Amino acid sequence: MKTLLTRPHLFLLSVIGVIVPSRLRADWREEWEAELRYREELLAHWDRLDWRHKWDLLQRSAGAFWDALWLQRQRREDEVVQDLRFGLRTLRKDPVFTLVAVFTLALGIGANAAIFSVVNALLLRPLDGVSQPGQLVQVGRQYTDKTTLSDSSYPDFVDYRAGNTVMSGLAAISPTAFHFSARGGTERVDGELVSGDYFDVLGVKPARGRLLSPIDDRVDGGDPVCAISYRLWQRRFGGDDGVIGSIVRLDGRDFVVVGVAAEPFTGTLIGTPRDVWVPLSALNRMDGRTARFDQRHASWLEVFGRLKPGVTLEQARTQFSLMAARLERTYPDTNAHAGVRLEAGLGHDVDVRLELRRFTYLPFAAVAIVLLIACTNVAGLLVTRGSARKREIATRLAIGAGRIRVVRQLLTESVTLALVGGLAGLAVGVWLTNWLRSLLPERFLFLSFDVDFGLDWRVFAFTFVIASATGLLFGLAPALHVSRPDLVVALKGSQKPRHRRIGLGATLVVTEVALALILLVAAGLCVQTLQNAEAIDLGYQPSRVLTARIDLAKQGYSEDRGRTFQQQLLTRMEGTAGIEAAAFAVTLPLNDSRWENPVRRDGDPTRFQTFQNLVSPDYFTAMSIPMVMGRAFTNRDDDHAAPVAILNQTLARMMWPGENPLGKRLTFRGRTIEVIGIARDIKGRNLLESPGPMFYLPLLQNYQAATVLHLRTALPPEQFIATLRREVGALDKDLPVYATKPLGEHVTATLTPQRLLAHLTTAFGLLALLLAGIGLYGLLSYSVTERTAEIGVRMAIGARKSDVVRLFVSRGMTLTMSGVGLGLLAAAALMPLMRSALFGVSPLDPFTLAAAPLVLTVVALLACYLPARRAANADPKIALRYE
Amino acid sequence: MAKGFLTFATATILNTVSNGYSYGFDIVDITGMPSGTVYPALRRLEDAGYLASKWETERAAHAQNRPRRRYYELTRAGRDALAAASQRYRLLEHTVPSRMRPRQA
Repeated sequence: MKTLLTRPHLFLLSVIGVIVPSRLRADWREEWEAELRYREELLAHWDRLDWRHKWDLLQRSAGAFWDALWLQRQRREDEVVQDLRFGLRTLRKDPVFTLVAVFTLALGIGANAAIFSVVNALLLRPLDGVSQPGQLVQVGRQYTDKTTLSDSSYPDFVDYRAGNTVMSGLAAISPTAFHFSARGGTERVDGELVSGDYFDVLGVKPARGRLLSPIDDRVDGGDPVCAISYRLWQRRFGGDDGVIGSIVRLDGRDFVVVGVAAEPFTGTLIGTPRDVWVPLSALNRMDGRTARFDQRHASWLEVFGRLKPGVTLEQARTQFSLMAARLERTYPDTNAHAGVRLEAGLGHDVDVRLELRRFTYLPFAAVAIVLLIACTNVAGLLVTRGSARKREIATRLAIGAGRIRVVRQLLTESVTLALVGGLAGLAVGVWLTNWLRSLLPERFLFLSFDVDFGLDWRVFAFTFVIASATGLLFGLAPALHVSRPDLVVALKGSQKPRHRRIGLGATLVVTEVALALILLVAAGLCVQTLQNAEAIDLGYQPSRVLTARIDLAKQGYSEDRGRTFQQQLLTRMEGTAGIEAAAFAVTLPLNDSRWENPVRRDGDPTRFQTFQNLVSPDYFTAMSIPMVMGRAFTNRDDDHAAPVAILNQTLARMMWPGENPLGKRLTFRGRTIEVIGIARDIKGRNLLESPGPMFYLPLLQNYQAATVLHLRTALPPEQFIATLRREVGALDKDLPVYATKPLGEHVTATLTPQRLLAHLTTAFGLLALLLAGIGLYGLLSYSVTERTAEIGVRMAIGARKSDVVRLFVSRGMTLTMSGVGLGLLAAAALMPLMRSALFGVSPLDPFTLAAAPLVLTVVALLACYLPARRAANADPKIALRYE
Repeated sequence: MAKGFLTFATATILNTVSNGYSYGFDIVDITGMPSGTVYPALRRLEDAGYLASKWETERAAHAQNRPRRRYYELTRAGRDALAAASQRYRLLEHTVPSRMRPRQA
C-alpha cells in the first residue's frame, strides 16, 4: 500500500498486472516497469516531479491497462483456464450428475432471482427517463403525531425553494386525472399539475416541441399550455408532429400542447404512468380553488428537489429542518408540529415502500431456504461424486499437486456449475416472475403494479453474486473433504465404506428434510390463512356485481345536469334485461379511499369517528346488504324531504346502546338527520378486521359528481360491460366510463398479500419437498452402490429381499425422522414470527404440524424404497464379485 | 491481422520502429500516441510477425545504469508491410524524424 502514495504509477501497474495472464506477467511487468522507473529517474524522484510530469507518468501507466486487456487473448493456457477447461470436461463426462445439479441450482437460484426481480421492480429501480435519479429527494411535511409523510402547502414550498442552498432546484406536483379530449374522443388519463421548473429539476428533455417552464406557471400566465407523454402522443396522435401547437381539451377547457416529453418518462410515481402535465397556475382556470395557493394549512403538493453535486442528504436535512423550525415559529397556527422530512429517491410513496420492505422478508426467507436446500443437495451430490473421484484426486496429490491446487480445481468446478445453474436460473426466474405477476392485481390500495418486471443489470448482478456465492458455499466443504483422502487406501482402489463420509452426506440430508419441513409448515399455515380470508362473510354478495366509475365534474356537468344524468342512467340500466338492480355510491366498500368524519347524537357533544358512504336508493339491493331494522332509501328521500340516514349495526350499538335507534336524530356537518334504518355490518378495507362504524346518506340529498355505479347482474358481470358503455354513450357519447370491473376483483385484490404468500410458500414448499426427496434418493443410491458387496454376502447367507429393503429403508427413515424432529423444533420456534401474516389459524396449528411431517414422510419413503428395491433385486453372485 | 492492411496509427508505429525508435516509451514520445495505443499495437504487430522483440542484455542496461529494456525491430514481413502501407498513406514518411542508426548493437 505504501507504493500507492510514494509511487502511484508503479502501484497502478502492479494492480493492472493482476489481470495479465500469469505466464506473461513477469515479462510484461519488467517491460513496463523498466520504462516507468527509468523515466522517473531521468526526470527526478517522484516527490520532486512537477504535476505535469506526474500526470504524464500516471497516464502512461494507465495505458498498461489496455495493453493488459489485449493480452487476455493469450490467457488460454493459464492455470485458471486450465482448471476451467478441465472442470468443463469432467462436467461433460458425467452428464447425469451435471444435469441434476444444474437443474437443482437453477430452481434455487431462479426462485431467488424471481423474488429479487419483483422487489427490484417495485422498490429498487429508480425513476425512468430522468437524469441522475440518485440526486433526487422527496420533501414532505412530517407531523410529530403522525408516522406517514404528508403533502406540503404552496407557501411552504415557495419558502423552501427560496430559502435553501442545498438543492439545485425544488419542484412541486399535484397528481390528478383529466378528461382528455382530442380528435378521436374523450378518455380519462392520469396527469400532474406541476410547478414551472418540474422538467428542469427532473432533467427530462422534450422529444418534440418544448416542455413547461417557469414562465408557463405564472399565476397571471398567458395561454393555458400542457405537455404530453411520448406514449400518449403515439397512441392518440400516431406520433404526428402537428400535435405541437394544437389544442386539446382537459376537463372541458382548451389547452395548447407545447411539447412531448422524451421516452420513457411518464411522471414521478413508478407503476402509475401519467400522460399529461399542466402548470399549477392552470388551477385558476380549472376548478377555481385557487385559495390553496395562499393557504399554509392546505397540504396538497408533493415536493421534490435535486441535491447540488457534493451535498449529502444529511446536510440537506439539517438545512430544511432549520427552515421548518423557523416556519413553525413564524406561523404557529398552521405549522405547529409540522416538521419536514427528506427521503432519498423519487418514484415511490416512501411510506408504502417502508411497508413493503417489512413484507418482503417472508418471501426472501422462503427462497433463501429453497436455495439452501439446493446447495445442500448439490453438496451431497459432490461428496458422493468426490468419493467416486477419490482415486483421481489421490493420483493428482501423489504426483505432486498441492492441496490448494486440488481444492481450487474442485472449487472452479463447483463455481462453474453454479454459474451454469445461475444462467438456467435466470430463465427459471423470468418464468417465475411472470407467474408471480399473474398473481398481482392491477392495483392494490395505493400501489399500482403497472411496472416493468423485466431483467435489468441489478437482477443480473444479483443472480451472478448469488450463483457465485452458491458455488463456493456448496463446493467448499466437499472440496476440503475429498482433497484429504488417505492416499494409500484411495490408490489401492478399495471402496471400503468410511463412516465419516456418510456422516457428511447424512448431515446434509437431515438438514434438507428439516428445511423442507419448515417451508411445508409455513405453506400449510398460509394456505389456511387464505382460505379463512376468502371464506369471510363480507356482509354483502360481491359476485355478480359490476362496478364502474363516472366523473361528471370533470366533464363540466352542473349539479342539475348531473342529477338528471344520474337519474336517467339508473332508469336506463334498470330497464336492461339481465340487470337486477342499479345504484350509485361514492366509494367502493374496499380497495378504495374512504370518507371518514365525526357524527354526534343530537344535543350531545360526544363525537363518533365513523366512515360514510353516499348512495342511491337501490344500493342495498344491488349489494345485497340486508336491512336489519327500518327501511332503505327511496326516491322520495330527495332534496325536498327531511334529511335521513341509515346506520350500520356497529355505529347503532355505539351511539344508542340497548335502545331502538330508529327515529333518533344525529348531527353531521351541522345538519340534524333522522335515522330511518339499520343495515347489516359489512367488511371495509381490511377484510381481516372487524367492521368499523359506518353510516349511509342518500345521494339524492347530498349530490356528488364522481360516483361508482354498482350493477347487480343475473349473468356473469363481465358480459354487461359493453351494455353499460352503450347506455352511457347514448346519454353522453364523450363521457369516459373507467375502472370498469366486477366487484369480486376488488375483493380478490384486497387479499393480495395473503394470496401471494399462500402461493409462494406452497410452490417453494413443494420445491423443497422435491429437492429433499432427490437428496435422500441420491444418498441411498450411493450407499447401495457402495455396499453392493455387503448385500451380496448378506443374501448369500440367507437374507431375504425384504430384509435388504428394510435395511436401507430404515436407514433412510432414521435420517428423515431426525430431519422431521429438527424441522418441527425449528418451525415451532420460527412460525410465531409469522403471526402477523396469519388469519384464523394459530402459528402452531396442530393440523399443519401433523400433516406436513406426514407428507414429507410419504415422499421420503418413496425416495428410500426405490434404491432399496434395486439393492434387493441385485443378483448375489454379481454383487459378491463387485470389487 | 489481415495481410496488407494496417491502420494509419499502426503503420505509423511500424514506421517509427523502422526509423530506429525501438522501445515502447521512445515510440510513445516520438509519435505522441498514448501508451494504451502503442503497446497493444506492438503486441499485434509482433503477433502478426511484422515485429520481433528481444530483451537487451543485463550488461548493456547496467552500463547505462537503468533496468533492462525490450527492443523491437522489423522483420522482413514487417518491411514489406511498411512498404505497402507507405503506398497507401502518402504522409507516412513525414510522420517520424529519421534516426540514422539505433543505439543497439
